[in-house]
Amino acid sequence: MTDSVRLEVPATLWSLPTIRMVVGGVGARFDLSLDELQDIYLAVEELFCAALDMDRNERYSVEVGILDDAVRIAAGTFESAGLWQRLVAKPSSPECLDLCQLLWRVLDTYSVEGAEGAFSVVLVKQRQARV
Amino acid sequence: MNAHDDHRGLGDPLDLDTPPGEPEPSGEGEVDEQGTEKPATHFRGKDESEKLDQYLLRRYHLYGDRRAREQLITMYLPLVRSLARRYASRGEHFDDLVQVGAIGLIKAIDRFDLSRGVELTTYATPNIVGEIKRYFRDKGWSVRVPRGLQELNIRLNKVIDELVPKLQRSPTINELAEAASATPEEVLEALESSQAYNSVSLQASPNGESGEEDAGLIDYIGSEDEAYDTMEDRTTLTPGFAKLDKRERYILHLRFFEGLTQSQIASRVGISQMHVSRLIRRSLEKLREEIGEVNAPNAAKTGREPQS
Repeated sequence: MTDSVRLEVPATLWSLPTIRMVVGGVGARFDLSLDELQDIYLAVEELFCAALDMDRNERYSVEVGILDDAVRIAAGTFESAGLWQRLVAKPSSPECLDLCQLLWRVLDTYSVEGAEGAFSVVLVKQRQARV
Repeated sequence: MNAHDDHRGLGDPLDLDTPPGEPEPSGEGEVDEQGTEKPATHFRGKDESEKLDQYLLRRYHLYGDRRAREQLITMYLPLVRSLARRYASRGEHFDDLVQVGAIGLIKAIDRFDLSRGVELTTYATPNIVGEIKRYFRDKGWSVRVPRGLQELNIRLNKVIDELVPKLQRSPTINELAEAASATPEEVLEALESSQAYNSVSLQASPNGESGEEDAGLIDYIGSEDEAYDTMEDRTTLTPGFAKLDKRERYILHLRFFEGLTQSQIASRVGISQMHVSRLIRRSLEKLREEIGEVNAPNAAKTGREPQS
């Protein structure tokens, strides 16, 4: 990545505003639209809320950067098998708004890197061409 | 203490079911193999313990026996402590979390339905966890927003409403900053502060005063869209959606099933983009809570973490 910011945050809800501000700062510099930024906020919040419920790690690292025409956020390291399952599971039905469905719907791609028990999640949001 | 003798001494002429055998209180809860503490009072076996629960619950619900209620609370405090401990590393004092969890326990005892035939542990666990999560959510999001940011927030609402039709797309942060005569950092801070509006009165002026020239927050909330009633309401079939009101379901439907952006939803529903953002967040929080409560009874049985 040509330009990135790395954070290490405690596993608390209070870290979310900090993460959002950093994501917002990078996103603003990259000229993301408000809609695109709100989508990234949602994805980050849903991922972290799920992690806070299910994962027992006390600290997480978050790397926010720009990659070609996209903002890339890598978060981890997570250990929870339940969280892994929710991220890699195939949606049970089109009407189901579970974590992976939600991430697919607000992001361009997301991936789970590593192995069950120690993995990171990479969220990618493309910047749309401006008319 | 013998629970049977204790409650017979209250003067109830009826022998309300046969009480369980003599308990052997341990004082402190024990930890099972999944790391979850059991209620403090243990009996000869699980069946005996459940019998005492049911006996005390019947005493309380059928006869209004407050001592039975207190005994249940005391018995289940170790469960509260165990659940609170899971959240203790997240910036709040453990004792505060226990107190909050105890409120969830009391609510569970008070609302327990004897006819449903479930164990108190199964019913109480999601109530306790829910109360603790609510505490984190309320305390986490309710912050005092400086007046300058409140004013910028309201200004941004107007600027977004003007820019979206003009640009025919969602504005960037830099465009918002320029139009609102602010820096991009201030815009981001104002967007962040909008989270705190959840706890602000809808009638309040953004300045916190009652000046007539200021628009109240309620001016940014639209009226009910006719499409609520006519949309294909497949979202009601989605787990947890029944807890949402019609507008919340409609907005989630538009965003996640029809793929509209927040700006497009704002235009369709007639509310501000920032309000759409808040409604989506609030709805997702409700879904997380609901799904967590559905999953938690299994978690109580299996010893696994409740899922959000």
